[in-house]
Amino acid sequence: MKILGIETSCDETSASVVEVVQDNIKVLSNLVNSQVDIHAEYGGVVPEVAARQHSKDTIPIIKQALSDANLAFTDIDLIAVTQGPGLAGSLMVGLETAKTIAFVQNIPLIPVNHLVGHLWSWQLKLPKELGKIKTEFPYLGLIVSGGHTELVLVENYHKYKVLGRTVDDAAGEAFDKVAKILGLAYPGGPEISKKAVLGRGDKFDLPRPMTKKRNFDFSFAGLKTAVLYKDKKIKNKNKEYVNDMAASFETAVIDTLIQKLKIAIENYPIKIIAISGGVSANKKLRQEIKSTFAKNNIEVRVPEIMYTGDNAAMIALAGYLLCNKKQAAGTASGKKSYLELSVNPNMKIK
Amino acid sequence: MKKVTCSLEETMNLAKDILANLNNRHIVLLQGDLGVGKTTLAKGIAKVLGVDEVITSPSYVLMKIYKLKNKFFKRLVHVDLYRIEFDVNVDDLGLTDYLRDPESLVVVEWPERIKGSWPESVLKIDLAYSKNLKIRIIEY
Repeated sequence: MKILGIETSCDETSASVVEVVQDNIKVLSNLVNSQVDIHAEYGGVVPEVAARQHSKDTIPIIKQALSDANLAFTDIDLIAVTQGPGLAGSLMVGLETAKTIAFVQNIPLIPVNHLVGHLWSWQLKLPKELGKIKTEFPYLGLIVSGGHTELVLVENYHKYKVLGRTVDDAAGEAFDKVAKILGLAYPGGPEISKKAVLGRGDKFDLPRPMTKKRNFDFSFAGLKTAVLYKDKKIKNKNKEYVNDMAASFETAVIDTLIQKLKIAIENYPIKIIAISGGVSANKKLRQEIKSTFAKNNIEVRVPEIMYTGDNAAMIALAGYLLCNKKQAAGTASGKKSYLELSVNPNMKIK
Repeated sequence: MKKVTCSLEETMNLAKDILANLNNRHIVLLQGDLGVGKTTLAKGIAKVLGVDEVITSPSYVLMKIYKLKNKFFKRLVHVDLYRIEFDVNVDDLGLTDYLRDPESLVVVEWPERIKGSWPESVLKIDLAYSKNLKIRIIEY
């Protein structure tokens, strides 16, 4: 079975072809066209600009993904497309394109929740490498990115329980804002990590927000403010200070995430933790989570770096998983059902 | 009016008073530094208006819209211009429609990041740190 994935939820246009043969999965192509350069002059993603760029890029990138896989539309068995959450205009470009191709080529279509895509991204091997789809449940999924911080109990392909999410800023957003406080470039995640390697993580005493509460919600706005308080008091903001603060902040974020994961494994019979999203590219986060939970005999799964950011391969895989096990609503059982699909910018995991 | 708040909760609780001071205005500009409590105040406003969803920072998506069941307002439009400059003539955000619609309560963080100007009738709120960083001075 060959699945064409299409992802346009934010500022990345992506198309991918994934092949599944008897639970063996292979990414045949995965193209991501980032608009970062286009948005750089604005200092961030501008929805209208993003949507216009998607409408230029989506069809060429789909064609390229097919040609890289040496396939034509007629070879495709299923189209998986991101329905939400994301920017409405951006999502529309991907979904309407997918609907059109599905209609004209008579290919089944399945709408995918972007976050569910992230949750499964650890299953993807590097392009052209063959991997076996693992089916162990339940597992604990932690999505950490610029726009999301969610802790999800994945009970099976169709059952997701959101245990907690951020009540204010997402983890990645906190990285960006703290980078700004420290005079570092955007996006802040990689910049903070670079400085953090050179600094001392125990130099500044920063809070571990909401870790005393026994729930699973996160809060990173207060941590950002704590950094700001300390920053305002420092007169000599030399390199050493920036390195130490970056390290202390990074440590605080990682600690907080780990504490919440710990509370979760005390409450649920979990043997596997899977992290995903842009922030999961953070090396220290990966190492710390792995070493912490190795002691508890919990396996930690992380995506290949190329699948931490937004990509269509994860959408294709999620589409397959959702569709394969049970024909999900919205597939092309009847053409009418999917032509009526519309985007859902605030889509929640269900 | 000048108010002093000493905690997150106190800042949040100012929302009721702020809404009472709208006097037919429907645009609220929240000005102040990173971490000073703009999103906290926006959370307070949403709470008073009966939004039961958790209000999260719109920095990343720039704008979030919440439906309201309110006598005066049909929706709360929470805008955060932290990451971009809003050019009123280009209106990349599609914000202009809401700025013209008196049934939309528009709450804007980082309003100084505008190219052009806000409509004349707005409620401006300044948030600042006092010398003691835990204490905020909020003026409107």
